[in-house]
Amino acid sequence: MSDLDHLFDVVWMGLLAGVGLTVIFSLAVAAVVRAGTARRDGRTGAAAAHSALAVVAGICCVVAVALALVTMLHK
Amino acid sequence: MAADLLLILVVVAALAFDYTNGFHDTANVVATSISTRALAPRVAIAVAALLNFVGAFLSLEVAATIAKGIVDSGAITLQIVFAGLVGAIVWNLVTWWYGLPSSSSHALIGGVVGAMLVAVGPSHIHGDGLLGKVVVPAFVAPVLAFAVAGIAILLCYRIVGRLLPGPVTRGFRLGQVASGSLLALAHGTNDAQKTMGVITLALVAHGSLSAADPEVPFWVVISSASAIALGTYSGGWRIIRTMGSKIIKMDAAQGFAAQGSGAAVILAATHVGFPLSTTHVISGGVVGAGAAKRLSAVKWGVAGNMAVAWVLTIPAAGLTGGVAYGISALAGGGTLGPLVVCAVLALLTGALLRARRTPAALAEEPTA
Repeated sequence: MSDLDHLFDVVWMGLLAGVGLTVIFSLAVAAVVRAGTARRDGRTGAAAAHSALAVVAGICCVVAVALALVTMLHK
Repeated sequence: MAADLLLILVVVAALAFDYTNGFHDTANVVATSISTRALAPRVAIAVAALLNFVGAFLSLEVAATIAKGIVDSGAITLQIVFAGLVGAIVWNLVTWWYGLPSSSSHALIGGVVGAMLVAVGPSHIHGDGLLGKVVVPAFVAPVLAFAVAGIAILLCYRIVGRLLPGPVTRGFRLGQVASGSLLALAHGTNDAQKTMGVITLALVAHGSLSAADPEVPFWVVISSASAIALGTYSGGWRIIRTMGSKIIKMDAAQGFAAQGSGAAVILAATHVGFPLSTTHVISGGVVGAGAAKRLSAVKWGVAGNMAVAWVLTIPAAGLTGGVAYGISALAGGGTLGPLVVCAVLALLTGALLRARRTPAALAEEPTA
């Protein structure tokens, strides 16, 4: 594989992982904040939905960290 | 006896480089966490030091014998390695003094290339390797991290922009603890390896290790890990100030975007086998996260100084490495040469410290 191919891979993987991680973590933060607000307002359905989104986004972040560790261990 | 002394000099220089690498480069990793108050300064430094130490043990593939693919490794001698390390250490100290983040890896490569040029001429330096493995990545790393962090923070603000700022800030500060830790760990796996590679190379040249399949001795691993961790713990506060507050005043979301994007870019590059400088990536991320919010928020003068330091790193470390090799060769090479270089460095350092301690008024008085 040439350096140019490597470079192309780094660009798209870096973009995907970097933007993806920030977006997913932002979604998790937003979902936690909205779930708290909904719970205080007594909107249990909305609170449950936001909590579920927070859990899914949180799991995605944990998976991303695990992938990062695997990448470090197998380089 | 003489060969043993030379080996000791190279090992000490390699560990000294590792120490400067710790306080110089890891500052970049923790600066954003400190400036957004995700972590208290001493705690951030302690966590980074610990993770750098742990990172050094995670991967022991010392394929990273120095400057692989950039110089002809068969022509490297202990004197060249020593001179290269001197070049890298001096450049790291100069840039630290001015609070400028620059790549320690590039300084090491520059130092070795400079010493090689003086020692054996340009025929043993692979120009295409230097271009493909050093120059191109040096441009790609900050630009890519800039773009990734810029896009990431814009999307992030769209998601959390209308929410209560207090809980959002707390959330991103928590995220920064994780992203900063990942960066510190990645730094430990990358940079402590270089020192292990240098010492292993020295041991092979000395004849203490087999050249066919050199195993990294445990004392090399533990001493390299300890040197980078100690360097990290001593804290490169000048660079932390530059990275944390002099380029932009960032909020927790920007700090997370810069660190998260930086970690993602570094690990994507590691996965592909196209290693990028941690310093270049995180600096690009910090500027990108700031510029995406407001172009005028970035102090472009400071960013420009950093870019100048990056461009100068290889030539300046190369020049110092070349001069160090020249002094060493003039003094007769062997073990005496590096000893003379140490003496010259000690004299220069002493003169600098003396000049700094002399009050200006006193210094201007006629000495007659």
